[in-house]
Amino acid sequence: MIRKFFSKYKMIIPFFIIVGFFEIVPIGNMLIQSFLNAELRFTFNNYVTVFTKPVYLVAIRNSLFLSFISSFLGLAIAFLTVLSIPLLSARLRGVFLAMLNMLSNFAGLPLAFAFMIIFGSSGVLILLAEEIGFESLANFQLYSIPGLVAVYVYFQIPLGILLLLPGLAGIKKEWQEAAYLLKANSFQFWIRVGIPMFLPSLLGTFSMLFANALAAYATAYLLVVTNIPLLPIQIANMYIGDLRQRPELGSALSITLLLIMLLVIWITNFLKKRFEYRRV
Amino acid sequence: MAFLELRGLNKIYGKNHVLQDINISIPEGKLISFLGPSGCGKSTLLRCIAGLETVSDGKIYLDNKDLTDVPIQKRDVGMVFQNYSLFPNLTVFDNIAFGLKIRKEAKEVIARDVNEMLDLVGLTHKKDRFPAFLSGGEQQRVALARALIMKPKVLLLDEPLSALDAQLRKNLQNEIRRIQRQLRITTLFVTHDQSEAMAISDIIYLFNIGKIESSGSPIEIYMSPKTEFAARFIGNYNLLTSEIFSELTGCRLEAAYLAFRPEVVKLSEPEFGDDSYFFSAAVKEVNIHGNFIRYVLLAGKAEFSMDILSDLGDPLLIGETRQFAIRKDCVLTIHES
Amino acid sequence: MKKILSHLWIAIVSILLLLPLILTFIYSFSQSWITILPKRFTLDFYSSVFGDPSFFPALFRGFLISLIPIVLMNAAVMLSLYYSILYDSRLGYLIQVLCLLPYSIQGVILATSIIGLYAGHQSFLSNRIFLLTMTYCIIILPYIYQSIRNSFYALNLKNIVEAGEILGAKKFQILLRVVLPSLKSGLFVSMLLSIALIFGDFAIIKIIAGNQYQTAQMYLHNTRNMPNQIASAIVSVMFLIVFVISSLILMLKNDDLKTDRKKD
Repeated sequence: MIRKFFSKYKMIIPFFIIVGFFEIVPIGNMLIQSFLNAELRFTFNNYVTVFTKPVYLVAIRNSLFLSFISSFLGLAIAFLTVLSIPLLSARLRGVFLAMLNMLSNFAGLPLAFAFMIIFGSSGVLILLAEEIGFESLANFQLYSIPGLVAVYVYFQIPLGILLLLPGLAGIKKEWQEAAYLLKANSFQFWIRVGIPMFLPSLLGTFSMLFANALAAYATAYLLVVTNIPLLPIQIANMYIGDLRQRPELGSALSITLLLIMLLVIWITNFLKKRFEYRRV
Repeated sequence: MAFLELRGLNKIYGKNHVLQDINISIPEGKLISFLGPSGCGKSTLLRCIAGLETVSDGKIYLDNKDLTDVPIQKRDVGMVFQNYSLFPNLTVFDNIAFGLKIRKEAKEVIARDVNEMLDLVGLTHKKDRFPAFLSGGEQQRVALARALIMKPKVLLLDEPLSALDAQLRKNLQNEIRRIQRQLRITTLFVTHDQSEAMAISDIIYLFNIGKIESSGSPIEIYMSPKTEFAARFIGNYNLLTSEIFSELTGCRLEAAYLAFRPEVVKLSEPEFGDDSYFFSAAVKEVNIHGNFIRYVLLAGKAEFSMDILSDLGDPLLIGETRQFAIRKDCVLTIHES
Repeated sequence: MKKILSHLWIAIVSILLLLPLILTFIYSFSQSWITILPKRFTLDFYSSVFGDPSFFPALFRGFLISLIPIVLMNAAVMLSLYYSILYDSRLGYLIQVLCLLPYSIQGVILATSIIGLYAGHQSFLSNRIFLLTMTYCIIILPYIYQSIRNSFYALNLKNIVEAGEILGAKKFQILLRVVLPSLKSGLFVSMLLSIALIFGDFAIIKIIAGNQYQTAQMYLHNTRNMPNQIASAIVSVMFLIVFVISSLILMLKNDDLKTDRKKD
């Protein structure tokens, strides 16, 4: 019996063993743990703590704010850029896209270090701005929410552009030509046809950027010490570092993060469906 | 000056001379076809008239106005594209109303005109559908209505039927012709299908690699091609060089080529007289086409086809050698090559 | 007008995006930089980084750790997808969900969930380097899955296998002799993507292994209290490596596009 089972399913067993042990079971365990106390009894207390203790509430709020603002700004800049790309010559377009592809890999810890070196309190540009008396740059605070927004927007832009580009290919040139022949200018075309057709792609990209920002760890880790709590840092701190380790609370925080992510994906998918017209 | 006048139009893309010195005068209210194989520049010419492409050299006049540098929006031309290009996010009604809304017409005017158009193209019952839920033929009718509602001075149709199946194509050809006559709108129709051009046009312009090869009414184009290209592209003409033709018939004619259509070749009969060429040939291939049979005949170096109606006796057999005849006035001389 | 505006916009975006990178690069060569122009260019910081005996091993470890996940997951996903396409399409849906889930779980949650489950064990399961390897297996899953699935679709796998069987080949032979060779370029792209991903990871390694397994990322992390030029030099080197990998990916993808077009 068992041998028969193995010989029939031998091709899929390795996959399910790996995924089972290192994806399904850990996540399932995390879900269960989030409802257990230190004595392994069922409790809602972990979630009560998450949603009542100021440090976690502030962390959730900060993370949501940072992800939302950076995704929104990143998307807006990416959108304008994507609209400009078709007007470039083929050669320039190739150069620009290669550059974006390269920059989309400039993320995580090296990026955080670069920002620290340049915009940190003794960063190159900051010292330079002080030297020449460029006040508004000299007063730039990297280790603050606006500072974090700047870094996050920076890594959202290339990603946003690369994610939006396929959507742009879906806006057919003939629609634009047909609109011009019906006496519409290019603004009227985008308001009435272009943006409605582009909306699914914009929403999808927004949710990808949001998830990307929400879970960003390296940047937050390096640039934020303790004054600005953020969700991923709070979660990781439950498992590492000098503080007393509290995996149950960490699990509850993780599940909260996961739920926020799924909620945003669900909302954008719902909106996407409303604006999707079966294309011809 | 004619209603639509193209003078010395040239279009050059890099090294490609896509349009070469095009001169055309088009009278008002007619349906004109631009016919030619793909890549011959006919669509580019249409796009130049619409303003979607700039011309490299030359002038376009419409109704005594120089259009050459006028922006697309101010040209008063309507266009229907091969792939319909309806706005997928708008209903049939809103697609047709699009231009009027841009022109900021009153709501009642829009409703009245759109309903009139829906009636004209027979789609009133589908006005609230989105384009994705229409058949290809229906989409093409919406595209036509969307262009016509603007009352353009010229209607441009860029291979509008080539994505449709044969039966639907015939129906829409008739419908386009009916609407065009009813509205008396000057229409330019681009197609690569010669029978479509024959069926629909008042005048045909035949294009070959960026040049106008010949022009005329469908009957003129069909019955008396002026060039080798025209003879080959239209009516399946058999083309023989004068040398081979004289070997076949024993008569030498002064021409580069001699052209005759497959249906003028007959089986020889005793009452045929001096007005015919006679020769014997062997049957090389037999292809049954339904109402007629096409034979490929072989006589020395001459190889050509012959169409015979299916009801005229028993078919010939491959390898059979018979006497054939062609009436002398059915053989056209072509001087250019 | 529109053309000028869009060129201007692209130029501004390009400059802003390149600025941090270029400044970091210049800074890594400068003795100090507190006036308009950096003072005296030097290679000192590079020589001290390259002279550190632990730097190159750290770089190497980043690649080493990606080896097992890439081989293991390509094999596992390929076999299971092959099976599901040929025998059981519902299973294919389950495989898809499991493979794409890591996209939304992301590094921090996956790493903490694995550490939370296995860290306390007194067996090989709690070995941090083993756990790290397995976490990377899961995190690269979406990329591997998509590349293999796309290649299978492009191949029209079911027809190919049927054709092969009619010619007398066994299913496994077809996999080895027909399917695998035609996957080559797809596999190569997903392999490079996985390397770039693992090389660029900080969250997972920090949470699971800490300083027990020092990769380039951890090495960079540990220079926080050294002169900024040292960090700049390391950032520049790491960026250069990722740049080479991503250019390779881009090149391969473009080649694929070109050959695809030729087929049409």
